[in-house]
Amino acid sequence: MLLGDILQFALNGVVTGCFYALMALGLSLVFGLMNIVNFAHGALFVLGGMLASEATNRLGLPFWAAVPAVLLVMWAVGVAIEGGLLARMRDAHILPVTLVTIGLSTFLVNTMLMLFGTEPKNVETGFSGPPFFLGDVIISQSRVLAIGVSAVAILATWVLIAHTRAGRAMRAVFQQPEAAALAGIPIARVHRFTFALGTTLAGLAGILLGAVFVVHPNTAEPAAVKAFVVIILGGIGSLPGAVLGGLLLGLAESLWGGFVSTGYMDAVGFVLVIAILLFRPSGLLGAPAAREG
Amino acid sequence: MLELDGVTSGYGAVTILQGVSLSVGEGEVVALLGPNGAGKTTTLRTISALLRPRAGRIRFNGQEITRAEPDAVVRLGLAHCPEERKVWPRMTVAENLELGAYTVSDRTAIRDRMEEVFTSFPVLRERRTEYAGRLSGGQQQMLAVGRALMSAPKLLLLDEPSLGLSPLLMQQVAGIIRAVHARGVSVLLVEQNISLALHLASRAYVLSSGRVVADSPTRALRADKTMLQAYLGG
Ligand SMILES: Nc1ncnc2c1ncn2[C@@H]1O[C@H](COP(=O)(O)OP(=O)(O)O)[C@@H](O)[C@H]1O
Ligand SMILES: [Mg+2]
Repeated sequence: MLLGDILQFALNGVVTGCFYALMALGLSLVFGLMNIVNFAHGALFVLGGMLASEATNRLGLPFWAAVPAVLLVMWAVGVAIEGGLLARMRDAHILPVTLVTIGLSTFLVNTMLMLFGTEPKNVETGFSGPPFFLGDVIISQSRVLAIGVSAVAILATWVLIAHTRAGRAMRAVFQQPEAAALAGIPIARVHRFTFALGTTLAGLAGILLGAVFVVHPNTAEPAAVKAFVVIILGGIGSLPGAVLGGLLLGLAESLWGGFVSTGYMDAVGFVLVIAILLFRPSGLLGAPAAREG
Repeated sequence: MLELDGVTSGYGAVTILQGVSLSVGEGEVVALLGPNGAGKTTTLRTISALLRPRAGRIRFNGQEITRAEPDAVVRLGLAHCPEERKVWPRMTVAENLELGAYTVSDRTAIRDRMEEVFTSFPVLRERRTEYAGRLSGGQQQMLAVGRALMSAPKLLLLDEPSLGLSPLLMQQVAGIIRAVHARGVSVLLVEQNISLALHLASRAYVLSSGRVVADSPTRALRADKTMLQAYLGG
């Protein structure tokens, strides 16, 4: 019985871990590569879920049509934020940029409360059939979907960054901007592309969260903080670290909540970070000179 | 091939170049000399469009590039090997070279040029899969020069390529500049090592506090003790 419980909590942890991993992957691009402390990342995550909820519930779009549509909108939102705000502050100190993202977060959260109301929202997937049984372990169809979509998105992001011309240009711009400009890489476009990609990944995490649980604008800021916890855990600048850190945090929270207490669940991440940083000051996969790829 | 006409440029509110005029002819090696802080690096950065001139004009290969973007300048055939190498430390040697040819879409041309770079610098071939950050200073310098050559430039701007190199490596870099020149590429060379620059170049400009104070054949400059002492500390 106990083994069955452990497996069940672990599986739940993997599902939550997928949300964390996707969020952290997006934030890792924006923070680890672009060096922007983006407190609006959580609001963008909620925005993805909210838009998908509107698209599937109010507009009645099927899930498979709603997802690409919402991701396109998220991409456009990312382009607009980068072009309208961040590009103007590219040479600014990190503090004013951080203040701007905090302001943006407040603006987005309140706009969502105004437009979509204060009720928690779910995303309709159409996968409401009976759950799967693996021995004692139960998993709903929507959770299988969330794990599958996350895995594909994480893999696609990795291929993009490690193995394509665009990904190589991204790494070049953030490692050594002057050399990138001299090689003829269009710096402004790479910044816009990277931020839009980070925003879209946050939005996808929000969509999947809404498909499994619910989304609410008030979770935006705690979610942003958690995403920072995950990338510090995994090692700043390391994309595999962001994924690993996300899964680990999801697992730890779920097992703690299942066996010990649900009261301190949100503290688990912080304790985990402190414990890991004591032994590995640059996080799980962060080399002292930080690496990615 | 390259002409600067009264170029004024700087950073923020500070003006560094005060009306610089200079030219590099087809197939020429020209040195740009001057004390530290004279504005040599600023001149090169303005030519390759990292900085926008406040006044004056820049022409390259018959085209006005005064207000061009850096990638347009690269596409016209101008490559700039920056001060302190600036290789991408967390990318492999091969990735660094491939990115040097970012503006080139012909895969075979890229492969052929990489072969040429490996022939000039065999050590880069040996270490092609290693992170550039792991190379020694001299090897990084070779990589930086090789990367600049990957776009098949007509004019190469070199900013202190001998900085931090042993005398032996310095000779190797000098050999490479000669080989590049022999292939018909023009070179604008910034150097602290005056004797190296005077041997490689046929003409030299001397820059001081953002102004050109001398423009003469290197043969004449080598004999001009007053000029050497006044501006070049030798
Ligand atoms: N990024 C910068 N911002 C402000 N001033 C700069 C910057 N880079 C260089 N300078 C100043 O411009 C002047 C010329 O510098 P530089 O062109 O690097 O000289 P050189 O290459 O001849 O040694 C120096 O006084 C230097 O302090
Ligand atoms: Mg300099």
